[in-house]
Amino acid sequence: MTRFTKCLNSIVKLTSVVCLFSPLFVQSASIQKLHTDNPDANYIGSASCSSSNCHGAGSIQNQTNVRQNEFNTWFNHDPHANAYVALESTQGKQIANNLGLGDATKAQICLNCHTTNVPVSRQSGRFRASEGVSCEGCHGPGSLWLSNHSNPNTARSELMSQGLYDTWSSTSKAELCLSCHLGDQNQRITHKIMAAGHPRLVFELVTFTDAQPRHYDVDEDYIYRKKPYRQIKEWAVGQAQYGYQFLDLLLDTDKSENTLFPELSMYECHTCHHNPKKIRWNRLDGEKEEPGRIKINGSSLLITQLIANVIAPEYGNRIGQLRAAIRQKTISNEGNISEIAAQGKELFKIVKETFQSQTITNEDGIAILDQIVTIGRKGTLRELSSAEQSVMAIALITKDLPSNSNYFHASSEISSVLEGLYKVLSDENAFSPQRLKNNLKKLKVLEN
Amino acid sequence: MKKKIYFLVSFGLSMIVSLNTLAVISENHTLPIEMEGKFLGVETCGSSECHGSAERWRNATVLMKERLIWNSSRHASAYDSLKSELGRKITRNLGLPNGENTKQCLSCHSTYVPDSQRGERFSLTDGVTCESCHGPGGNFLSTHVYPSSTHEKNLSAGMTPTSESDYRANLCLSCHQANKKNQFKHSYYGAGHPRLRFELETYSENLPYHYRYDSDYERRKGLVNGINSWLVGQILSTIQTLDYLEQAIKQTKFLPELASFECFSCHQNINKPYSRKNSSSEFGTPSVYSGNLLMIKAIASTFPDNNSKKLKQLIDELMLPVSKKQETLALIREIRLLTRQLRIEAPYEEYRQIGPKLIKNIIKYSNQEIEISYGKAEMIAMSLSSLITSASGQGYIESASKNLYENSLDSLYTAVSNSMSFKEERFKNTLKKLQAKL
Repeated sequence: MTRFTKCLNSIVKLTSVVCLFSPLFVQSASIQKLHTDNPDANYIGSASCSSSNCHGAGSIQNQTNVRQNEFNTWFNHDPHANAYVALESTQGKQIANNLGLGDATKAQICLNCHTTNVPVSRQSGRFRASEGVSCEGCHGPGSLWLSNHSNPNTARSELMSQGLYDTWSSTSKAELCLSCHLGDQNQRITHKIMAAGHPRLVFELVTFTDAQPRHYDVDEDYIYRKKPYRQIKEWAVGQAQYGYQFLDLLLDTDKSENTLFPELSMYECHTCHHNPKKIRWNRLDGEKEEPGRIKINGSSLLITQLIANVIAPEYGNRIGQLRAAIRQKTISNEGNISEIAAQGKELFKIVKETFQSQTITNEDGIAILDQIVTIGRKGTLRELSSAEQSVMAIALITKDLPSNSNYFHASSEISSVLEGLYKVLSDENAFSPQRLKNNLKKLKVLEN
Repeated sequence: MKKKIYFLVSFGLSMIVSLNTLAVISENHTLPIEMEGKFLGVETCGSSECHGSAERWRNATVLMKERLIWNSSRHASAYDSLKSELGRKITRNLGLPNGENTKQCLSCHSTYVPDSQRGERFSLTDGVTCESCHGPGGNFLSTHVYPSSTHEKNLSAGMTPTSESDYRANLCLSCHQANKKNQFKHSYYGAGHPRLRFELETYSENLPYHYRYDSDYERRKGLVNGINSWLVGQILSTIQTLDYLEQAIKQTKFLPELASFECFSCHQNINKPYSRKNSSSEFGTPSVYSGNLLMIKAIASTFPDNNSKKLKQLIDELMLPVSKKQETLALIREIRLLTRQLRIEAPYEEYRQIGPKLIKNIIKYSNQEIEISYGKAEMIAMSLSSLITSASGQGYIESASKNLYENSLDSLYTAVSNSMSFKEERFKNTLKKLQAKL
C-alpha cells in the first residue's frame, strides 16, 4: 500500500466517522431539495468538471483514487445525459402535448427530472440545461466546493459540509435516485403523466447503478469506505428507502371527500392494464383475496419484508401486518389509507436505519434469496413489479455471493437461468406468474 | 297477490295508452321471478302436444316447436355453464363453493324462485326457461291451453307482456346489465365472468326467434316495430345504468364499484401510443360506460324539445373522465331526469322518418366523439345494425341501397370483432363510409 492510499484511507475513515455523526448529512434531500437547500449556489455545468486532468480523461487513469474519465462514461453511455433530449423526441412532444403543457423543455414538471433544473440566475457561463441530468444533478452545485475539490487532499467530509451531495451513503443515494425514479412530494409522477404516454417507472438501486453504468470502481478502497460495501446491503437499504418513500407518497394520494379515484400511479399498473378476455387471476388455495381489485404497487414492501424476515425478524412480522392492513383497507372499501401509510412510514424509518447498521453475511444472503425463490415458486409473485424486483434481486444476490457458495453459485448455469428469468419479464403485457414459477424451478435443479 | 294486482293494473294502463301511439315507458314492471304462482317447468310447457312439437299444427297461431328452438339457445344452457370449467373457475376465484348453490349465480342462470313456488316438473337445472320470461305457468296454463284463449286473456291471467318493448327491456336488463336489480360486481369480472353487453333489439333478434312476425302476430300483439324496441331499450338501459352508477359513487369510500365504468378505459395496452386532440384535465382517469349515453344524444336530436341541447351537453360532460364525486352525482341525476322526459311516442307511420333520422344522428354523434372506446364502438355497431335492419325490413330504406348498408354493417362488425385488436381509426373510417352512403 502506497503512502498515498494509506493517507487516503485515513481520510476516508475520518470522513465516514464524520458522516456518521454529523446530523448535517442525515437530513433528507431529494433532487429538488438539493437545489433549493443552497439557494445562493451557482451551477457551473459539466464543462467545468470535465477538463482532461480532472474528470474528462479519455480513459481510466491511475493517478488518483477516482477514474478521471467519469465525464466520458456519463456523456457516452449514461442515459442521464440524454434526459433533456428525450423531451425533444417525438414521444416527449406527444406527452407534453397530451398534457397541454406546450413545449416540454419549458415545463417545470418535465424539467425537474430531465435536467439539472435550476433557475437561470443560478446557472453560470458553462452551464447548459440541455446537458440533461448532469454531474451537479447528483453531486450538488459545484461552485460551492469546486476550488477545494480540485485539491485531492481535501477531505470528503469537508466537501460535503460545503454542499457536495453524499452519494456514498446508500440511503442518501437511494433517496436522490428515487426522487425522480419514483417521484416525491416535490415532483409527483402522476397517473395523468403516465396516461399521456410517459414510460412506466421501474427502479432498483443496485441494478440501476450498474446499468447507469457506474463511473467509479468498486475497488478495495470503495469497499472499505462503505464499511464495508456489499451489493446485497446496498440493495436492502435501497428497498427499505423505496418503501419509505412509497409510503410517504401514499400519504398524499389519499383522496379528498369529493374525489372519486385515488392517485392511480400508486397502483400496480397491470391489475388494470391487461387483456380482459384472459383470466389473469386465479385464487390460490386458502387465499383470502377478492378478484377484480386494483392493487397497490407493494413490491418494495414485500421485498423489504423478505429481507427483514432474515436480518431483523421482528420487523418482518410488522411489515407483514402493514401489508395485510393495506390490503384489508383497499378490499373493504373502508376509506382512506393515510393512517396506515403514516404508521408504515414510521416503521420503515426504523427498518431502513436497522438495515443500514446491519452486516449482511453470506448466510443471510442465501436465506433472503431462499425466501424470494420460495414465494416465487408458490406462484404468488403475480404482480409484474414484484416479479421484476425479485428477478433483479436474484441476479444481484447470486452475483454478490462468493462463487464457491454451495447455493446458487455463480456458474454458467446461473446465467442461463437468469436469462430465462429476464425473458419472462421481457414483454410486460404477456407476463405470466406461471412462467416465472417454472423458471424459478430451474434454480432448484442447480441447488442439488 | 298484491304484486300480481299491481302488475295487472300497471300493465292494463299501459295497454290503454298503447292502443294507437306507443306506450309510455314503464320502469317498474314486476318480473316473472318476483311474481306469485307456481312455476311448472319446461316439461309442462314443452310437451309434444303444446310447445314441444316438431311441426306446426294446422291453424296453430304459434310455431309449436318453441321448446326445440329454446333448447338450442344459450338460455337453455345457462345453468350448465355454472358447472363448466369457466363456471368452476369463477366460483373458485370468488371463494364460493359452487355456482349451483349460490343465489347470486342462480338468480340469472336459472329460474330462481323459492321452493314453495316450484312445481313437480320444475327444475333449476333447466336454466333460463319459458317461465323465466313468460311468468309462472300456474297462473295462466289452464286458460292458455284452450284454442279459444286470446292473447289478452293470457295477459290478464298473468302471462307477461314480452311483446311490449319496455317490459322486455326491464326483463332482459335485469340480468344482461349491471344495475340495481342485478348488482353485478367488478369482482365477478375479475374472477373470470364474461363481459356483459346488451342492446335490446339485437339481443331480441338473436334470442333466437321462437315466434314469427306475421299478420296473425300483428293481429294479436300489434305492429312490430324494431325501431321502437331499440329506443325503449336504450332509454331504460341508460336510466338503469345511471341508477347503478349513482349507487356506486354514493357508496365510494376508496374506489367506486367498477362495473359501471368503461372496461376499455382501464383495460388497454399500457404501451398504446396515445394522442388526444384535446387535453382534458382528467387525463388518465377512468370513464364511465357511455355506449348508451351516446345513443341518448342521437335520440334527443331525433325527438327534439327544449331540453335536448342541455341533455346533450350534460352527456358530453359525463362522458369525459370523471373524478369529482358531487359534480358527477349531479350530472347523473340531471341526465337521468331529462332522459326520463324524452318523449319518443309517435304514430307508427312516422317511423318512416324516425328510423333513418336515428341512423344519421348516431353516425353524426359517433363521428364527433373524441375517442371511441371499444365498448362504445360495440354499441354503435349493434345499434346501427338493428336500426338499419328494422328500417329496411319495414321498407323505410329503399331496397336499392340495402346491399350498400349490409356491406357497411359487415365491416362495422368486423371492426368490433375483437376487443383487443380493435382499431379506433378503422372503425371511424367505416362509419365515415357509411355516412357517405346516406
